[in-house]
Amino acid sequence: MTPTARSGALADRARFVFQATVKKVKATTLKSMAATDRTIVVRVDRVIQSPETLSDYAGHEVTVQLGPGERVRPGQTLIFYTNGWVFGDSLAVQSIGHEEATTPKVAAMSPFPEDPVRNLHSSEAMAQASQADLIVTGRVTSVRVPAGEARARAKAMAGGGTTERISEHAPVWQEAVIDVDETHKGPGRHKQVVVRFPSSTDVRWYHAPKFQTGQEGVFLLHKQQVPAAAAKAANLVALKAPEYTALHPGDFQPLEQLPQIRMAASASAARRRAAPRSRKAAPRSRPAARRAGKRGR
Amino acid sequence: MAARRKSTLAGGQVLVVNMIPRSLSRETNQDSEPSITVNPARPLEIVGTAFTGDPMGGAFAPIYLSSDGGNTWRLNSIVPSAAGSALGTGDISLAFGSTGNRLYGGILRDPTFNFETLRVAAAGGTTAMQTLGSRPDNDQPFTHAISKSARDRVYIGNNDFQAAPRTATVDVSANGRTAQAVFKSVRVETRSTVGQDGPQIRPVAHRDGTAYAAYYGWRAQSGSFPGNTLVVTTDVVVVRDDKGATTGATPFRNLVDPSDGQPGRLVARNIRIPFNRNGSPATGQQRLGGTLSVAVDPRTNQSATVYLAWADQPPQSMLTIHVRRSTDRGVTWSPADLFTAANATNAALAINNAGVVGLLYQQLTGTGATRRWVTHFRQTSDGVNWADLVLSTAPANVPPRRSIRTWATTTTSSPSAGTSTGSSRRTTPRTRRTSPTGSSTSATPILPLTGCWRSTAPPRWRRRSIRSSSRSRANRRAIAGGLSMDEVFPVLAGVIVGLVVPTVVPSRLRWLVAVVLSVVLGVTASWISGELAVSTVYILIDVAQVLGASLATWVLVTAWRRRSARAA
Repeated sequence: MTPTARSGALADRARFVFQATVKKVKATTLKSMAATDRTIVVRVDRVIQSPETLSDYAGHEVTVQLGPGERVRPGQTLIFYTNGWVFGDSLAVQSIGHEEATTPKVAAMSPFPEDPVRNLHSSEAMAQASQADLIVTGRVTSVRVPAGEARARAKAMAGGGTTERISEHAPVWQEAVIDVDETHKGPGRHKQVVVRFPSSTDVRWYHAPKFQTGQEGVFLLHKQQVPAAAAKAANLVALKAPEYTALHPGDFQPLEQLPQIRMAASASAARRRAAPRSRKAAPRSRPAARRAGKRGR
Repeated sequence: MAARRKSTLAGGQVLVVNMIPRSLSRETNQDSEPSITVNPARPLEIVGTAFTGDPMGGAFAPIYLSSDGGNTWRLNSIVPSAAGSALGTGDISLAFGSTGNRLYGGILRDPTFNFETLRVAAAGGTTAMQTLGSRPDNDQPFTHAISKSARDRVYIGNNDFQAAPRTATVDVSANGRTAQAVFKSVRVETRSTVGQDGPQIRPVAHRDGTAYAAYYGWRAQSGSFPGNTLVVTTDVVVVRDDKGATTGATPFRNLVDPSDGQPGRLVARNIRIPFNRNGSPATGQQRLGGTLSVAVDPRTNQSATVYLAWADQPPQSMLTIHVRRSTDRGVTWSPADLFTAANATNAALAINNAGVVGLLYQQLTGTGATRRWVTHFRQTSDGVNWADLVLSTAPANVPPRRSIRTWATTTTSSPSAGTSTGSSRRTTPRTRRTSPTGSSTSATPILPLTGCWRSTAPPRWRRRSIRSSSRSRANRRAIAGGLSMDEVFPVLAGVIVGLVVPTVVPSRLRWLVAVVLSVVLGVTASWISGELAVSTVYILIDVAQVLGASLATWVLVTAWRRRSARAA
């Protein structure tokens, strides 16, 4: 693995990436935590990628628990790839890897140098793009209650009931009709797609995109995302062929993210194309090898 | 811990504490539906829960943990969740056994929202809570645990849609300590329903084996839930089991109502409650759906004394809390309310080991833009005299759903981030932020620590228009453009007034017309920008802007005309 690829792989697995100077080894910044051979204290020099909550940690000392095999010396300036551990009177994180901090390396990891949160979101958007079944750019031309649901609701209300279980977690599904400008990932070319989304602002659904007429951007759409039992429980009826869902906050992105999303989509498409070939190749190669072995004997 | 201050409460002490650890002072999550439970075996160990995700997006949601009686807090991510979950967990309710330090719980697990029963040997350890059972199609788990003869009896009330139409259910484990603890789902509803019961099913138990549960038995409905007009006609029902509901084929049937001979005492009949999909300004943005809490006197030989709080919607009240008491094991109840609170919700009752009853609730006061959510903590030893301590008072109209300027400049607080179980946090995206090592400026979080409460009762129904960090950023991006656009209307209106008034209006009326138009246009500017929903102070700002722009224009136009006249 090349150094760049290694950095990328570590950054994909880490939520909190920062450049820091090692201050002490076998030490900790938390009163409630005993120092061990693997705990070190570092001063954060620059936050490269982080959730918003931790984006202002530059200049502060934190505790890092080194991973197996990691070794550091006081005074070293390193890039740490970490995830959360202890959130108390101070912060302790668990390292999944570190490397020497060089200017080009830090620059390469920071597409938005002044915004570590945006760096993280950008990375998440890429991950979301690779998982999407269909990626289109376009605009929402209408938002409606699914036709079947509207009919069922009218019928149920006439009988004094409701179609959904009465729960604060009910999704209250709606459909957004999107006029497609361009398809960037997924089968066929679409002029229009229908996206089902929960209109509820309940805690279960508040983070799902709430589409509005006129909304324009990149839509990262998915076929059924909910397991069958949960879908039944949530009244998520079977989707028709051209219907998709958008449940993740990253399923709608502004147009400015399009170049990176395209890159992520093509990378995942390339991986997908490569995967069947290797799967097909494997069964053929094993009997061939056996035959070759027999011949060899 | 970021901030503390002391106050007094009926001879005891209240410690004001910000439960957000200092290392997370920058966090802006709303952390809705807070609840709290104390370890009876180690009263200094306190666990809080909320809709809080792991700060780094880990696969386990955190609990808030204090090991020193609430002085300091840390997050311990041990609740099963999903990597990257912004929510952390859906509904969550935890409780300690009275001995043995084990922590039990019921959650709706993100992202499936399956109902999962949980256990962990130590709340402060690094071992994640073990999932003992899981099933879909459920709502509002509510946990109570009590130890007897080296066994932990665990009760988790839940609204089990798999049991429709009689959905009120209590999952009971006769001994949660066993390696493979088994929960039995006890259906406590025996009467006809409208298709389901209400989501609040609240169990409580006494050391002598007596177990109670209270629930809303839904009997009829009108209106539409998607349309936000649903009104439910419901009974308030209390059931009891004298052997802890751990034996027999049909537990919780020791209490029979004399009116129909069915199990379950009907403490209130055919009351009406709204069941909202969304909150509204009239409800202080709170989603209403009833409130229910039950507590039993934990002292020896006092299991016959039960307190019950519920809410209905009488005329002229958004929701009214009623508190009544039974001293004969739920057979008869005080004929009138021991305590009533109009326009109130999120009731939580508890009785400590001195027999003192605590009642926490939130009340909407004022009208229009001056509405406030006031959180009360009341105490009584006799059910007659209720000492009152106001834990917090907060504007009811913030954070508004859409108001760019508010998000940027005002201190926000909401009942959903509120204080119903004794934990309270303000969510102040801009003003509360401090450096990771600095001290918070948050003003009012309060944690009552008078004695060791035997049962805690998290409120389960809150407004949940939650703002994620990404959303707040989006809002802040909008602020950059939004602020300037907010000023365009009053300035432009002022320019027009300054141009038109000196030209059209007779000179003796010009000042009067200019002022009147400025007031009208200033109010209009505040209204269309949404700021009026935040504060009437914005009217003054916008009126001043209109008046200032009109006067400036007036002066310039007059000067220009004089100059032109001189030139001519």
